[in-house]
Amino acid sequence: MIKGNVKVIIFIGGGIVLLLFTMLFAVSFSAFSHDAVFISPPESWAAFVHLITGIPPTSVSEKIAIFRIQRVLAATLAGGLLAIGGVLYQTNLMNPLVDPYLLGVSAGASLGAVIAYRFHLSGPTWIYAFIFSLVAFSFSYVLGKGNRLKIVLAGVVISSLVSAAITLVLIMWNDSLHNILAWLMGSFAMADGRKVLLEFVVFSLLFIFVLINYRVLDIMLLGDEVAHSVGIDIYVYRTIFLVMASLAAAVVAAFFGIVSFVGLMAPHMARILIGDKHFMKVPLSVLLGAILLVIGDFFSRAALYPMEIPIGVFTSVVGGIFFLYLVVRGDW
Amino acid sequence: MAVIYVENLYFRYERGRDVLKGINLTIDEEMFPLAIVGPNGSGKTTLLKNLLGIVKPRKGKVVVAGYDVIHLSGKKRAQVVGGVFAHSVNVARIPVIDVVLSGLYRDGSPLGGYPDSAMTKAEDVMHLLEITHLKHRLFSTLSSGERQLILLAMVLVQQPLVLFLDEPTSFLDPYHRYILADIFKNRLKGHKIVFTSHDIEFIVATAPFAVGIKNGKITYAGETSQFLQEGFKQVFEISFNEYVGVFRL
Amino acid sequence: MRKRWLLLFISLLLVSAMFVQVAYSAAVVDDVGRVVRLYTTPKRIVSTAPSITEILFAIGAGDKVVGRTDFDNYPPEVKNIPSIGGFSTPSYEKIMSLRPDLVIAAKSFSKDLFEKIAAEVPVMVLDPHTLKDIANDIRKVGIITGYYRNSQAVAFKVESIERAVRAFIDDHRDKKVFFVLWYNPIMSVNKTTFIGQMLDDIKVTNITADLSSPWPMVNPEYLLSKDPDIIIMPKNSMAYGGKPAFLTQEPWKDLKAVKAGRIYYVNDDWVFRPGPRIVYGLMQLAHIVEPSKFVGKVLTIGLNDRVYAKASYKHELKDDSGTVAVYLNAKEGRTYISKDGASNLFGVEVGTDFIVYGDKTCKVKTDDTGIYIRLRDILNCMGIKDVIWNGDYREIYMLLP
Repeated sequence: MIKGNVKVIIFIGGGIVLLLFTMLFAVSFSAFSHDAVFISPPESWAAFVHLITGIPPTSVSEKIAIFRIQRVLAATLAGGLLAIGGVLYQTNLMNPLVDPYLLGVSAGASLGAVIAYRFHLSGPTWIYAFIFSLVAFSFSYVLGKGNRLKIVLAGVVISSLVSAAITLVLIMWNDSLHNILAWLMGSFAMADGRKVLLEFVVFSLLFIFVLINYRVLDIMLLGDEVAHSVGIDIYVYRTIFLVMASLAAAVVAAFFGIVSFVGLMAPHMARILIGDKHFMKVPLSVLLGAILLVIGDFFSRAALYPMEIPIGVFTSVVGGIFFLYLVVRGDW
Repeated sequence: MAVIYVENLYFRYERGRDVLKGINLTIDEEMFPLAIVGPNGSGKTTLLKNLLGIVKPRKGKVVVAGYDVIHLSGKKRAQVVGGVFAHSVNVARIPVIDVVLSGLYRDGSPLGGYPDSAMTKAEDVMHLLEITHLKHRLFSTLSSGERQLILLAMVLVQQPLVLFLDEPTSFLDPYHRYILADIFKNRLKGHKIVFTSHDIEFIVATAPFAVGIKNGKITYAGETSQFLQEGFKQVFEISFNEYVGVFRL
Repeated sequence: MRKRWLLLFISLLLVSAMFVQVAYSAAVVDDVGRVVRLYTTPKRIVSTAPSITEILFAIGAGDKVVGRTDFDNYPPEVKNIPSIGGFSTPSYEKIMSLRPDLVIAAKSFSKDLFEKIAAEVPVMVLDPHTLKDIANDIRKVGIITGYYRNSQAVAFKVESIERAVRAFIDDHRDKKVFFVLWYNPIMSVNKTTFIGQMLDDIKVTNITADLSSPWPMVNPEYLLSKDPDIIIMPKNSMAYGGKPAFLTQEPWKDLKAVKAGRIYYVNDDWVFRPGPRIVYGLMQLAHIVEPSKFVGKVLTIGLNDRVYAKASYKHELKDDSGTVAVYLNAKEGRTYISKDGASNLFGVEVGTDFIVYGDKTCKVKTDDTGIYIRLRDILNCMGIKDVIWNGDYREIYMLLP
């Protein structure tokens, strides 16, 4: 860690460049066959401008460009949200191997979606997924109050119970299960402007809040006693951070299904590259998470175009490889 | 006025049995450095946590330097008490200088970081403890002895009215134990230090006053030399002489 | 003396012959390769899928069905039969408590449950992949239940309707069709599903035919770039409350099929269930692309309905198995049907030289005997333009609205 500042500039600057390049690539292509339309960068820009200003698109390729832009933005922001959620969870629970879905967020979202499908509830599915997600988190949090280990156990308990409920609803299903299973495994195919906007708002607020409080996070990472000693209200801050992290993860889960591992990998990778100082760890995690999901989304639609592969497949494979690397390397 | 005043303190973790059973303690101005001595499980660390306000007692009063520690807000409390728990610290990959600067959390501003005066203070303290060479190392790469010193530096930078340390010499190699003893004896005049320990040599070397604790109750409070006569046997079940006899160095 | 012994011997032989039971034995190889053998006709059959129940009722074995799943809904009589539970998780106790002597299962049946039951009761597993498989399954069920002749008729209907549609329908491959299985995420069907095969039968281009998964998730931009001409969806699962709301959103609202209103619905049970009514689904799909040709339902002409043809045929088509399907042109052909046949089959009231259909009264031409009416007149009155006969004039295929 000598000359840390140079390293930081390289990683974060490089990360931004890589992200922008990946995003552009993902918007230009949807597959490597002639089936899919190629959108050139000028066209992409024009489409983006139209999207922002609200001018309706004219040509088919412009409409397709808008679709892709929405997806890519959705994936980028989702990666950022999950990464921040992951950092907050990992710091507050002082465990580098936790994921922001741990405390019932993913199980709750799944239950909400399953129930919405099963009972043909009116309105968009994501509202139910979001509500159930937060309810499940609240139960976990209240159950595990007071203790970092206890809260993890509480999360496991609630997730198990909710999963049991999901299974129960599924076996009493009389239509085919394909639609709900596809939802569960995660996809950015149904991204739209409104979802992207909501993601952006939540992400910005969260990002700013976390950066303002970077010192609190650094100190909390050292342990409860240290944090308490220097004057931090650890219980208050922990609640706030975990609630915000869960909110971020719930938004992603409700909109796009269960996108596993990113919330765990991105912060962890950032940590290995740049250390635990949150002022640098958070932006780098966000960049890594975003890049990961943009690539993942591209893979989901390009591998077997025009068939979509759930993004959970990609993130699970990458996650598995990442863990293997950690095990072999021996240091986490 | 007593610096530390504890009245009728009862504490338990999560519906277990009481760990602290009716602690009464009065520590005056001159009774520092103070060692809290007792066997494992006697409640030393728990008492410390109560004195710092990390946990809240079931019953009783804790007053440090005139302040009701339990009900103080974070930043105010940091000015009154500060603690070092080197055994339960998490080894984060953060540069040492940042850890030391954390002591002045209450003076910092969001995004702005610490004022320049903080950096000067930190450097002075690190110089005092002879750890300046560790300034840019990552906290996670330090040995346990070095960590102890860094955390001590942090709390010194914080400058609370009373400093508390939990088992500062456990797991320390002879070199760091020596350094720590030297620091306690010679370089911390003017600071009020309280530490828990059962490292008899260290206590004898650095703490003229001692409090004995066993099974959640105070058995002795007063001069260390006196403690070694009767208090020692009460707490450790063997007399000091027997102990010295075996470990004659 | 010798003659008497001979007589006695012969009479004993004759008497004993009366007591020789001809052993009943039915054996069939089911769809997973198992040999299922029964020694008596089954009297207590448990069906574990709605398609299987429909097959049993269609071949006339409905009164032998003692157990069915929660989701069986056709024919209406099934509601009086006790249920054994859900589709893939029925109850072992409930099944066995019905004391079945035959269980017919679909492949999705739980394997463990299957093993448990197969140890005690004969189980036949059905797993059709094509419409022809469905027809063969109907025959297998017929063999094992002793209703072989009926099952042949039903199976033949399935096969011949498929053949007739394939033979008759014009080439519509210029029409791009998208079948909406689900909308969030967007899902469709490939060519290996029944629906996919039926879309192929009606000679349209299914834009998701060649994808590798039977029920693939589809990239929304693909819809934009292919811009299908026709959109088809199952009514129950997609439009239970009326016109589906998602059509007003992206990417649907920009599609020419949506703007032109070329959205069609099919009956879920007809297109998803591998039972005899699959051909109704096929007819419904055919009706979408050629509404004038495929209009209604299938009528079976009973023996008393008396039909004869003094026809001149517009077309005579042979398909590869040699069956002749005859297509009567709307303007020509003189096929006559008895007045009884007319009222039985078409539900019309018949007068001397007129018929009443609903609130319409139409004049009809009769032949010299006065007993037979010209079929074409009846069809015109009912607003049906075309029919398809099967080869031996036992059935007319036409779709009534």
